[in-house]
Parts: sequence; C-alpha cells; structure tokens
Amino acid sequence: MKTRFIVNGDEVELDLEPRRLLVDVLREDLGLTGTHIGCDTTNCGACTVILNGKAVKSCTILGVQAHGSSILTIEGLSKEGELHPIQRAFLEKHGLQCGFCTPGMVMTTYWLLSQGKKLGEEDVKKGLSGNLCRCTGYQGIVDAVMYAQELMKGESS
Amino acid sequence: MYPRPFTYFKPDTVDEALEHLTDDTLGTKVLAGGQSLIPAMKHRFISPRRVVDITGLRELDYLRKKGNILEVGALVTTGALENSDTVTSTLPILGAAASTIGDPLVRNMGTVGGNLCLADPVNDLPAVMLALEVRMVVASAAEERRIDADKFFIGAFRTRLSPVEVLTGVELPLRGGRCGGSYKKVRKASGGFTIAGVASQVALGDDNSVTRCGLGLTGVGSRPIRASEAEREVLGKTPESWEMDEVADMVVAASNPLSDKRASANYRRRVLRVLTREALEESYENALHKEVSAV
Repeated sequence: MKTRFIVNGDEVELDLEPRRLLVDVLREDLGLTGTHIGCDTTNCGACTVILNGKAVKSCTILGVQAHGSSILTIEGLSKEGELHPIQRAFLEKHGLQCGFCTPGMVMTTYWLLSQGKKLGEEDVKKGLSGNLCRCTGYQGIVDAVMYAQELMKGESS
Repeated sequence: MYPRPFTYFKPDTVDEALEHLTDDTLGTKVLAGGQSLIPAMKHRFISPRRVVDITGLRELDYLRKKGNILEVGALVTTGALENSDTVTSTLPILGAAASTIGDPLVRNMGTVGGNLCLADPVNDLPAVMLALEVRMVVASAAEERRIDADKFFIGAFRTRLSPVEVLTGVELPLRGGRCGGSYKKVRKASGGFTIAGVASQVALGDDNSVTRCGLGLTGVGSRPIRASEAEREVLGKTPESWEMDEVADMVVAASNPLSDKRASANYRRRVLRVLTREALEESYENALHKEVSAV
C-alpha cells in the first residue's frame, strides 16, 4: 500500500504491507535504527517517536497509519552535528546508563517540553511514566529533563 | 511480532466507514487509537481479515457542551479528555479517570470510543459512564440509535454494538447544582492494568445531603457494574450520617470479582471497600466545595 509521510523533514514514499509496524518501517526500510524496539508490547517506550507533534509508541502504530503525517525521530534532533539541548542535558546530567531507553526518553522529553508549560519534577515523572529504564537510572533522567528545560528557555527547539 | 495479514481501509467520512462495515462483518475490526487492538493483533489474540481505520474521521473528534449535555466524540483521545478545560469545568471525574489510563504516550493515541467499545473489564471509562448515566450514540448505515450505558456493556469484551455499527460518541448529562465526582483505582505499577476501580458522582441538596449518587465499578466482574443498592443507601445522607461499612458491604455484594494473575478475588473485594470510601468521600467533598453557579 502506497504510504507517504515526512520523516525528519524528508518526504518518503514506501509501498507497505498493512500489517507492518511503524517502528519496523523506520528501522528496516528507512535505516533509522535510533528508534529502538524494547518490549514490543506497548509498555517500555523505547520506540517513542513524535507523530504530528505528539509522542507515541511506534510499535503500536501501523506503518500505513503514518500516511500523510510528519514524524520526528531521534536522528532528526541534532542540527549540523550540534547536539540538541535535550541530548546535551542527558549527556551532562548522566541521564543514561546502558542507553537503550534513551532515544525514547529523549523523544518523550521533546514532547513534554514542546507544550510550553513549566514542568516541575512531579510533572516530569508523570510525563515519563510511559518510558521504562531497565537500569533504573531514573533520577539522572529526571535531572536531565529539568536541566533541558533550563537550557531551552527562550530558545526555539 | 507482526499481526497476521489483513487488508487495510481508511475511510474519509463516517458514511463511507459504515458502508464498508456492512460487508464481511465478521472479519472486520474497527481501528481507532489502536492501543489495545494493535497489541491484541500482534499477540494474534485477534486476527481480522480487514481493518477499517477510522482515525481519519475528524467529524468524530469533538468535545462540546450543548445545553445540559456534554458531547464527546468517539475519536477524542483520552489525553485530550484529561487536558480539556471543558471537561474540568463540567465533569472533572471524566478527566480524572482518563488520566489514569495506560501512560501519557498511550493516551496520545488511545480514544474514548476504543476504551468503551473494547469493553475490557479492566478499562476505566465504562464504570464512569455507568456512574454518570451516559447515553452512547451508535450509528449504522441504516440508522442512528442511542443506548444507555448500563445496557451497552453486556460482558467481557462484549457490547450491544452490532458488527455493522460504530460508536460515534457519548452524551453525558450535566445535572447542574452542586455535583462532584471521583475515580479511584488500584494498579500494580504505573501503566499497569486496573485491579479494581470505583467511579463516584454525587449531587447535593440545599441541606448538603446527597440527592443523587452514581457508583460504577471497574475490574470486579465480567463487565462494569453499577452498585445501585449502595447508591440508594447514601441518598438523603452525608458522610456523617451514612454507615460506610454498610455501603461498602453493598458495593462488594454487587461485585463478582475473579482471581487471576494480577490479584485474587478476595484482594479485589478488600480493595473495593477502601476505594468505595475514598471515591464517595472525595466526590462528596468536591460537590460541597463546588460553586453553584458553575455548570
């Protein structure tokens, strides 16, 4: 089935079997392997991408459903080799250990911070509750999100 | 895992969707937010021959106050419900319950219609629909009809919806005066399935006694349960005058919980007592502190 969408600013057109999941299309057809498959059962959030401005689990969306949409993946965040402030914050605040959940954490953070509300630590914890870190390094992650919020103040993402 | 192969159709209008549901009714599944359907298809619990994706039907994405009815379209996401000012100012219980569903990412996709039509006994919104005495608006190619919430849910994963019908929205009555609601539930982990839940909505008279009470229960039977006897027990009373143990007894008597890997039936009954007290007291407090001019 002909499916067209924009990913990280580039228009793509693919012929997809309807049963294929968005995460597999991103990884296998488009080579965007920064989006991870963790649980593959809508729990862990490692596959989080931004679909039309909202953070969603790409293992629980059909590839064909992306038709006509705009998607942002972890690969689309850094500009000209320069880390996005959220990525910088994760680096500086030790917001990762093994790194497997990190792309999902970063993309959810991107969505949380895009809503123009000032977030407290509690908001961040609730906001990240759909993303699991199996290393359980949550404090570093929460610190990183709070720091990213500081970094992005007055900056357009 | 991939679902088994299926054909995919995405209609642009409700009429087009309904036309397509009239053929191959048994092999077709309607896809809304997909946050339950797609996992079920991946596990191959369900393997439809055809999927009709209704996410393009923007006409079903509405949330508006019309007279003394709050109208919520089937395609409103649970996240939108949670963050809606209209919901907060009219029936905050709806937002409170929605905010406990899945996790924020799931709520960005999952819809009101999907949560209700799946009729999973652990889904949270059905019990709220019972407590509020909501009417479900259902359409087929032939007609539109309305079904009272307490008639809509008939068993685990079973509703009155026929295979040629789609739930287009729900109509929630706004009763005016001092009303308050609360949804309390227990789950094992963030994002985990509900073990038991209680939805409570009360209205108060001039003397602060309860004039109307709706109690809906989640996860303690094959379908959402309305605890009618307990509702009647608190009428004309206040937290000082109702006998909480008796009310809880009645709620437990109305329930029919199962034991499964998440919790035993006994645990569910015990939790139900606590949740009933918390939900009733909180809904009463919310009603008491509500300004009469609101709604």
